[in-house]
Amino acid sequence: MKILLIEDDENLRDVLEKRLKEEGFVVESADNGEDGLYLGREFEFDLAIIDLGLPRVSGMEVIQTLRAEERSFPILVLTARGSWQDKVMGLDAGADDYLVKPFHFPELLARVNALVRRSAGFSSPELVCGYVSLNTSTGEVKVDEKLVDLTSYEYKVLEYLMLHQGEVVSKSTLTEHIYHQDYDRDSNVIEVFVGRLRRKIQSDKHKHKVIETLRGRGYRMREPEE
Amino acid sequence: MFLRKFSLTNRLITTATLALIIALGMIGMVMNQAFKEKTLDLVKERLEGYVFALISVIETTPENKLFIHENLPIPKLVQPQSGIYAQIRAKGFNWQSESMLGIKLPEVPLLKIGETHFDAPLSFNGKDFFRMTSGIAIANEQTEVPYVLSVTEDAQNYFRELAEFEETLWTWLILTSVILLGIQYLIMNWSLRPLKRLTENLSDLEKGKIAKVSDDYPPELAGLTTNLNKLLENERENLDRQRKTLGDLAHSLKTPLAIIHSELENKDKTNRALISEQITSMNEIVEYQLKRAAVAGHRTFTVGIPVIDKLEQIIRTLDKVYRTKKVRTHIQAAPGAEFYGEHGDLMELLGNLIENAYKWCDQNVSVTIKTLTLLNRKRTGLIIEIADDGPGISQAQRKKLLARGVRGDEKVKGHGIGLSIVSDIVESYQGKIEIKYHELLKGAHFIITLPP
Repeated sequence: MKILLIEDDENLRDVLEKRLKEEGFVVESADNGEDGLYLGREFEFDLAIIDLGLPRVSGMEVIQTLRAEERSFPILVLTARGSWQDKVMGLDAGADDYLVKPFHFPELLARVNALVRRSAGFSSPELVCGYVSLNTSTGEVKVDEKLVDLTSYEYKVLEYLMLHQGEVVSKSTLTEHIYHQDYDRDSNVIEVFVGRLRRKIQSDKHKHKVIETLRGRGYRMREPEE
Repeated sequence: MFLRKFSLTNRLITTATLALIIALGMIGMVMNQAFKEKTLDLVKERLEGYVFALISVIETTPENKLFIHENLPIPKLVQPQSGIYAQIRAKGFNWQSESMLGIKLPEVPLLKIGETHFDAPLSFNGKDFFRMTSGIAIANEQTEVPYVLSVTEDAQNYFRELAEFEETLWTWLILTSVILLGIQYLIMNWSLRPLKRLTENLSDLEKGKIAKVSDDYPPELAGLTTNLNKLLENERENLDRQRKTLGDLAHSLKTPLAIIHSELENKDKTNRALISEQITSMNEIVEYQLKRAAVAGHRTFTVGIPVIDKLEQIIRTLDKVYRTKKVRTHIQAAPGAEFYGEHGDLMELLGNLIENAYKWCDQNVSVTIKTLTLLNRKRTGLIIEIADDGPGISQAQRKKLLARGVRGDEKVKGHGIGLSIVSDIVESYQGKIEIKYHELLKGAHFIITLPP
């Protein structure tokens, strides 16, 4: 999952970036509206966290511009004042949820997960694809109702594929949304991850696999047709 | 710009005096002119009378000579220097009345028969006269004898009379002016007294001698003074509330600070959870007090805000945030319902209450806005009802919830603070808030009444 974080407070930005990365997110951050807008226009994101009070270009303007340019990723607004006028303005500009500062990190994480899930069209925290289920709030993955242990990267790959069920996800897209920019991108690593993931979520009862490989194009996760 | 600062009293006095002078001056002039003309008419009539009287005593001899009967009908023509003089001029006949003894008058002009001339006035040797001259013919059996008859009156009397009249006229007019101006001054003084009193009141207010202006002003000023008092009251309330908020804030932060302080001095081991708990509590206190200080409260001078607009904005926002919950909102709003107060207050009021309803409801939220009309009030008040089909609020919880800064349920963040802010706002608008059980939705039912 790739997150755009625009926050001018250095301390808060660093903490959020660090903790979001710990949670397995890829984070691109900016300390002003102008740079943030540039990132939002140039790259693909799964979600943006935008502070309303930003230098140079206000958070409200960043949201409006992104929405006007048909950037549809969910946006979580951070507001210091927490007045209803701010909330209404932020959401009217095109944001999807708000969080009043100061907040607890778990609260932010819950909102982020809910927004990502919601934008993919899932209303409950439980993502299901055939015999595989993934709970975004608890981080549990079950195959045939039995818990499966995944590494953090495997989990992220699975979550991304499950959120984009039925879509073809290229290796490079997967790399971009799973790894940080400065990470050495080797598509073999992705192949290894996917291979291991496939073995771990293999069902004893079902023959069909939920993750297909489309040669030269990438991967697709979809419900097996029995 | 100087005129703008010209005092009201001076404005009134100046204009009234000017108007009076112009009016009375014109009256004086018109009356004077009328008197002059009338008097002159009288002179003319009198002289004509003399002319006719004289014609009746002029006769001709058989030799066609003119002669005058011995007894003249006008005593003034006999009395020397009486001021009335008669002259006759004809061929071979020049006659002067006895009154002309020692008086020199200009020569009688020759006029044709039937011609009449009135000189008003006629100046001669530095004196003024009125003269009526007529060309006349007297007929006997043989012929017509022409002559010119002239009667002259000394104008001295006329001018004296005129001067006397003018003097009387102007004396009275000036006297009247003075009396009228006096009355005007009294009227003005009486009318402007409330303004003067208001100025004194305001000055006392500034000095802090009084807390509000008195309310016994005439209706023209009562609107101003009543509103001024309301404004003063608002300002005082705001100041009080802000002072109170600051005090509350300082006091309420002391307890958690003391706990953190003592915990840090605990040498054995610092209880991080306890400190974190205190910081959370401090954060909540600050948030609550900040919001409370932002409440603007009841305002006297404000434009009505259409409630439905704000309501729709908030519902739109909440529908977005609670998208997955698929809440059904039932809105019933009286058309044209307006909120007389601060825009932000209305947003907080509706936002906090409706968000709670969204949080707690199962599927349904109902919002009803009614207007409240009171006698003698131009503005309308509001009744806002918000209900949901959630678990409802127990009797015991209701009182606690409305108390300031108490949280109803620790699990739902912001619930207590939101409601406390709502309570504060409602209180600042002199309204009331009730929590009931909604019969139809079987959940919590909030009723806010905001008087006009």
